[in-house]
Amino acid sequence: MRHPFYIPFGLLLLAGTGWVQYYGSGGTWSVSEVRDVPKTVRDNPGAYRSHYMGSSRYYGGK
Amino acid sequence: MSTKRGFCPSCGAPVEFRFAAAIQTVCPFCRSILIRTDVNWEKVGEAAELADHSLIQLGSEGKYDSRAFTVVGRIAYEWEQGGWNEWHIAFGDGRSGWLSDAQAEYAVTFHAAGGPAVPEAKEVYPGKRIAIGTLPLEVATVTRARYAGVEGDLPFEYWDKQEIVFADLRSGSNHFATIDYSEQPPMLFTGEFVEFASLRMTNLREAGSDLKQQPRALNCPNCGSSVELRAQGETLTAVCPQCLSLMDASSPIPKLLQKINTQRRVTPAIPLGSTGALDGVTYEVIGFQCRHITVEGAKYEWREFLLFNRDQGFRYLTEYDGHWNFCEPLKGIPESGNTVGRPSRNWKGTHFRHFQRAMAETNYVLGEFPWRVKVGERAEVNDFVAPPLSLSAEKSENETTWTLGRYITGAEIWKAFQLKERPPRAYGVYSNQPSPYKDSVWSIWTVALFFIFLLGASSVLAHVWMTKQEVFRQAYTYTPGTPGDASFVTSMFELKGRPSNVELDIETDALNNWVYFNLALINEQTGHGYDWGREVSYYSGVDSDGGWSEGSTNDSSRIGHVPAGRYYLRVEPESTPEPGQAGKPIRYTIRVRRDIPVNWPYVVAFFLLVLPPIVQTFRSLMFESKRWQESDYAPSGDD
Repeated sequence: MRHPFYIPFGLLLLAGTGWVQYYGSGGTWSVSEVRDVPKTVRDNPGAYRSHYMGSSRYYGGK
Repeated sequence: MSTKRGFCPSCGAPVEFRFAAAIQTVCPFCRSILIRTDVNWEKVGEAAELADHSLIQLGSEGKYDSRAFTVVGRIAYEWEQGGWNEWHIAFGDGRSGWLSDAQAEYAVTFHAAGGPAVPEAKEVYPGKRIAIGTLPLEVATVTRARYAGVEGDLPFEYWDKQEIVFADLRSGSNHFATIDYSEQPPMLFTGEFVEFASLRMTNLREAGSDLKQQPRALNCPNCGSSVELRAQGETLTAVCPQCLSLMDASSPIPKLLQKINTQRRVTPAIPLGSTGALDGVTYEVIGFQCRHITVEGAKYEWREFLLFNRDQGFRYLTEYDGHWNFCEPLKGIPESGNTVGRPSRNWKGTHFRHFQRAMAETNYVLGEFPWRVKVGERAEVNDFVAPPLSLSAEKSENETTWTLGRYITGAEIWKAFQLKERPPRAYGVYSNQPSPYKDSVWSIWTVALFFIFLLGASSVLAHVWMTKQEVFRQAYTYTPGTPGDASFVTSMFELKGRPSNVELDIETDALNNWVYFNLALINEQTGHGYDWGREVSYYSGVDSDGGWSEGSTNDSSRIGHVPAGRYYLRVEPESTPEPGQAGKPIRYTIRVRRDIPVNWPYVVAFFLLVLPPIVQTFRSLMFESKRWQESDYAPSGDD
């Protein structure tokens, strides 16, 4: 094989790209996954404590 | 072919003329030179005994252009670089030509009687271009030869010559011409180079008899040491291995040519006398020389090994810094190229670029040579390259010789000559060293382009195939500063199919305001959730610099790999009323879409795909840069 590393590398990239696309890529980095969210959230959404720790809160204005 | 018989007027011996139209012959018994008169033969002189360095002899037969010929006569010449024979060959149709035999290089020519005018002897010099008819030729050698003798039948009188000037002309192919300035007007002979084997000659001087016997030994005229000869019959100069003196080896009693006063001793990497097969031909190493050029005060020395094969003639192996070339002297002259600003040459369809011009000086010799080698001898060398090939033109006062070199690894040579240990390591990049990247650069780019095509195709396919299905859309209103809990949950929506991404878009009418959304996407069945936060803010206005705006009224976020199921959103907007906006509601719409194609994996894959070809191209360019750094065309700033 002329390029014993590059061809497998390229195939791997193509496969990886296809996999990422097929199973849905995110893109929003600061997402926290939470397990066992209580069913009471629907009845009392105010009691839910977000596990999201990030903050992109903008205090802008020129 | 008809023959004639007669008797020698000198000794009375019967003389047989192989060539019926002979004007001159030599009596084989008394060596009288006989000239045909009206009806008789007249003795005009006596022919000297000729040294027999050739396989060819009177009576040898062969074929040229499918026509049989017989060797009927011979004129022998000597010059400072050796000697050669012009064999007179007679064909069955009464025509005759000449077969020249010089250091195992053969050419067949015919007298172009009444042919085109040729320049005077004083007007010819190596490199001069002369057109013979429509054939462009170039003067390769101007030879001042000494008439050494004659033998057999000749088509003209040729016996009272002394010094004769010859101009040898060659072309870009196999054409060859000689101008003989011994007559007025000069005689022009035109023809071509031939391979000895193609002549299919028979009745030769018993190939392998006297010429291929064991090497003859000479005694050094300086120190008396024994000097072994390996290319007997071809060797003109031999070197004493003890005192390094150079001697004339063409005569039985060698004459001292040059006495060398040096303590330096160089051991050739391939010992003299070694034999090895290159390109299927077995060669013997018979000579060795060290030569150097001086560039800006720095001396660059290389080594040359002279190889000999009785049928193929001479070849060279050159070595510099562990880089080797297998070189073959060319019979033709490569044509000048048309590269602007840089000389170039073309040889058999290959374009060679000029690399370097330098004065080469021989500083050490060992073994034997078929020419008058001399320590201190200088020649202008012009090198042209087309890796892995090179062309080298070596120009002296009267001669330009061309050599075609092919890069060869030390390992190949060591294997061919069955040498022990390992070849010296090669340093740097040599002028005609083939680039290890040249072919791989093109092929890796070809593969890369193929992958990029596949990548593009899969991107198009993804955008067409992925559903981009909207699963939820709802408009809301939020008034900052309103007391109480602002959080709420949406109605349920269904995410179907394979795990895929979910995109959440928020569109607001916020102006000079901000809203921060605490978001949670929760699977109603499994309790699995995703928490994140997004801010939408948009400010605009006018100041001394003019109108300005920052931020956006919309936002989009995406969560990857979300399994199918029934989901709802928990949304908690928060904000503080901006001055002057208390009680003003902000309207916003939340939209959830499923299975959205994304571009970033393609962008990342594209850059990763082109990275190796770019690296390979860079390495290739660096290799070429190193190659040309040693040339006359080094990039500015380099030596």
